Formats: sequence, C-alpha cells, structure tokens
Amino acid sequence: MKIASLLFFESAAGILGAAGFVHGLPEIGIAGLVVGGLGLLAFAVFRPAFVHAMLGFYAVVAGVTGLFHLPPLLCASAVAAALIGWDAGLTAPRVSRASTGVRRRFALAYALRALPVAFLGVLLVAAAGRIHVPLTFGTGLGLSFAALALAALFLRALRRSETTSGDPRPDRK
Amino acid sequence: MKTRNSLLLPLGIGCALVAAGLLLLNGSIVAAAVPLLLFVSVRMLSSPRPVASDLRLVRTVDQLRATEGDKIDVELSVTNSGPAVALLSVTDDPPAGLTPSEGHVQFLGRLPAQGNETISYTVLARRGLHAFDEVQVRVWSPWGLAMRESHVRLDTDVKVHPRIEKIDPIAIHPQRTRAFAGPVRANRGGQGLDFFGCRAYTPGDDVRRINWRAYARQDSLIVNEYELERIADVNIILDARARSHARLDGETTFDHSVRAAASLASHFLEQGNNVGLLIYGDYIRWAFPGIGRLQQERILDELAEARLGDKAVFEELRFIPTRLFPPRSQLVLVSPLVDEDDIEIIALLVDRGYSVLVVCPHSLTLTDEEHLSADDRPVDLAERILGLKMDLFLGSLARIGTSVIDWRVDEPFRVACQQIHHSRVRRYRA
Repeated sequence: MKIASLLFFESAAGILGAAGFVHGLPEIGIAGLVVGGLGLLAFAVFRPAFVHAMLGFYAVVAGVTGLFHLPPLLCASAVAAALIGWDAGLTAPRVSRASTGVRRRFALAYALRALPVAFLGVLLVAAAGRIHVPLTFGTGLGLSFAALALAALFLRALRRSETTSGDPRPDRK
Repeated sequence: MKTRNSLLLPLGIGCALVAAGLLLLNGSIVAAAVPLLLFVSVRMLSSPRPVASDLRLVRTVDQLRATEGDKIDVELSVTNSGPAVALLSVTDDPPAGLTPSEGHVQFLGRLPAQGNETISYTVLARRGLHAFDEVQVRVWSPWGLAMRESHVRLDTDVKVHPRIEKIDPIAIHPQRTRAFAGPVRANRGGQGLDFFGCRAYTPGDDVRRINWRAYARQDSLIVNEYELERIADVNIILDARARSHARLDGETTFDHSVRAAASLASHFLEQGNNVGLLIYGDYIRWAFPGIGRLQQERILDELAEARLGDKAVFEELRFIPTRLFPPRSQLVLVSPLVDEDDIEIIALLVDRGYSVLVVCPHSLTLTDEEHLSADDRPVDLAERILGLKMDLFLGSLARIGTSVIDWRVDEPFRVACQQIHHSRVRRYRA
C-alpha cells in the first residue's frame, strides 16, 4: 500500500510537472518535480504526518497552477491522484500486519475502488469544461452553498458517530 | 471516529480552494477542489453499516503462565452472526514483551454470513506480566472507500516467569535452623548422618551409638553424636536498584540477577527450606517465607513482575528491612556490588548474626593483551580497573565471613555455583 501511495503521489507530480513544461511555465514544472522528489526522499520515513503534508503541498501547487491559468482538467487530475495517494498512505499502516499476499490482494481491491471515484471527479471537471459552466456570481454562490452544506453534513455525521456506540462482543477464554 | 476526523483535511483543502477560486474568479482553482469535495461526499455516503454487534471475538492463549524464552501460541477467532462483511480487518495487538515470531496478527478479507475466521500466531515470551487488551476491528464499505474502526476490549493476562537453572546443592550454614528435618546442618548433635562428636552416655541413649573403642580407653560409656540436619529460613534479597546494574547486549545484569534469584529460590525450596524473597529497588516487595510448590509459584510471580527502580530512598542497601528476617537465619543477596557502602551493610548483617551468601553477577571479561587492537585498549584498561575493584570487593566480603558466588554472566549460573559448592571453607580466593 505504501508503494501504491507513492505511485499516486508521483503521478500527481508528473501531471503537474508535465503540464507546466507543456504550457510554457517551467516554474510550475520545476515545482512539480521538486514536490515529487521530496516525496521520494521522504518515503523512507513514511508517517501519517508526511502523507498529510504531501496532500497539502499538492493542493497548494495545484492552486498556484490554477493561478497561471493552466487547464482545470490537469489541476483536478493532479489533485485526484494526490488524494488517492493520501488515502492509500493512511490505509497502509492499517493493513501492515497482514501477510504479504493478503496485502497485495487488498491493494488491488483498493485501487479498483479508488480509481473510479477519482475518474468521476476528473470527469465532472471535464464535463463542466465541455458545457462551459461560467463562473459567475450565481454559480459561485451555488458552489459555496454546496460546499457549506457538505461541511455541515459532515460535522453532523461526525457528531452522530461519536454518540453512537456498538463494539463487538468480547468473549474471553 | 478517527476515519471521519481524517476527512477534515480534504474537506478543509477543498473549501479553501473553492473560496480562493471564487475570490480570484479562477475556474481552474475551483476545478481542483472538485475531486476533494466529491471524495468526501462519497466517503460520507458510503459509510459502512456497523457490524460490530454481529461479531464475536474469542482469544485463546495456550499458556497463561510461561517461562521466559517459551513460545506461546495465540489464536483469535472471529465469528460473524450477521450478514456477510465485504472487507473486514481484525488486528490483535500483543503486548510489548510478547514479540510475534511466527504467523500474522491481522485478518484481512471477506467474512461470509455465519462465517468464522481464525488468526493464529506465535509469540516469544519475555519475563513480565503481559496484558493483551484491545483488538482493532475495521470494516470497509462494500463499494466505497469508507472505513469504520472500533476497538474491542479483550483482556488476557499472561505471566512469564524467569528461567530457572538446575543447580547442584549449595552448602549453607545459618546459625539457627528450624525444628523440622531437612538438608541444612544445624551445628548441633543429634540424629543425622555426619559425625559430630562424642559425649558421655546418659540413660535412654541408643546402645547402638556407644563408641566401644572410646569405652575401652576411658572405662566409661561414650556415645557418638551425629550432626542434626534441619530445614532453615532462607531469605533471598534481590537488588533492583537501577544504579547497580549494567546494560549488556539487549539485557541488563538485572535480568540475570532475577534468573539467579529464581534458580536459588527453587533450589532451596526443593530442599524443603522455608524461603522468602525481598525485592529492593523501586519499592520493597516482600514474598513472605513459606515452603512447597505454592511458595515457589508465589516467588516466581513476584520475580516475573520485578523491575529496576531509581528511588533515592533506596539508593543504599542501608534500608533493607532486616526485621522481616528471622534472627540468625540465612540471607542470600543477589547484587552486582556498587561501592564500599554495600560491603559495610553486608558486614553489618553478618555482625547481627545472619549468614550471608552473596551472588555477584557481572560481565567483566579480560582479554589477553596480545590480542588487543589499539581501539580496544582503553576499554580493556577500564575493564581491568573494574576487575580490580571487583576483586577488592570480593576479597573484603571473604574477610568478613560471607560466602560469595562470583558469577560472570556469560557462563551458566550452575557453573558459578559449583565453585562455591567445592570450597567448603567459603573463603573467596583464599
């Protein structure tokens, strides 16, 4: 799972780097390569904090890339890849004590579940580009409301999960 | 729930990107937020149902009392009494002192309805009281990436006793013995095996004990007396002061001291003596003297939990509570001696009438000077100085009349005990 996480992070770096060089913005390309290189170096000390930091880095680089008016599809793809890398990185320690074969099967199953979600996100952006949704006051307000509603729902679900309890029954022998 | 808390990061970044995109009227930045917000939405919608109440966990440990170095087999079985679980992870968390050596501590896979899965693994036991407590149960949603995590309390306590080494009989000579027959010479005439002396015949004496040769010489009846053999009170004092012990390869001399104390306690108990244990260090732990197998278990339980301490009040042996020990009984002190003060305290114990046997574990090994490299010389010099200091200490102990077992821990304790066994005078390096 750690390797899967690293691969996704590096793909995100690759997308950003390639996008920067292709669109004549070598600074962005170099920034992508630097973040990718940092990911490779930091792989030896694979910690949850490192995984969180990597997601933060990629989001910032993707945001800056957006400022230079790179295609939204590329920004979204890079963030999607980094997001899966982040999730795989957080999942890795949770399955690390299973046997190697089981872990490999799990990694495959994980990729099969994660990739469609990532593609769906990128497809949404591509679809928005195709139908030319203009970023006006109305769409902006709608999107803000959607994000706020999502955050509110999330916090509500979080509170509910903290109050409910349902642990498996222990049985001593 | 941890997994939901971890969603705060992508949600926060997504909201920040949306806000930045709207402020800067930049569609690319808003687009970058879409995968993040979608991911959070999918995770929230696909939250797995709680299967916790459908699972039944049973942990079986093949030995709840083991000896250090033993391999303990552990089995954790999960039974699902509800519908099938698409992806389940059950992780057992063995305590730090029990290192998994074979097998895997995690089950990861599908658990069908009414299905049962068992994980088996073997742990290598280290001395101590080890408590298994929580089992981690994680369930992934059937079609999403969401995961639900819970911890199940499943207490199992395993006690690992120190390793016991069989040792040859050790001669002890306490000034006072108990009333029951045993292996310790009581320094009094009576019924026994070893000749003790002669005395004048008194009516009631067994005629078979009359010494006819003495009668022929002195013309009065003389009877032979044999040395009484009784059981004795033996109290073992284990020095658990952190400053006394040195760190060796992965262990300390304290671990060796604990093994020596366990071996000695078992040995004296097997001989039928009344044996007690005092652990002097972080606190004072006292196993009241007793006899038999139950007492052996009691002492081993205490030794299993023994740990080093660095309390200032116990820095010196001066505060050993001698009132706990019967007067003029046998004391066995297991301690790598630190300084002259320790010798003084031992001399004080001898003055009070206790017979003291000192077991001194250390790791000093002197190498031939010809085989030393330039880098080894300072280390060798330090070892020689320490060796001289140790010789001085042991010589002082011999002069005050204590028996000494000088034990270099890289050799078996049994071998070190044989040295004292053969020197009946009990003088160290006389």
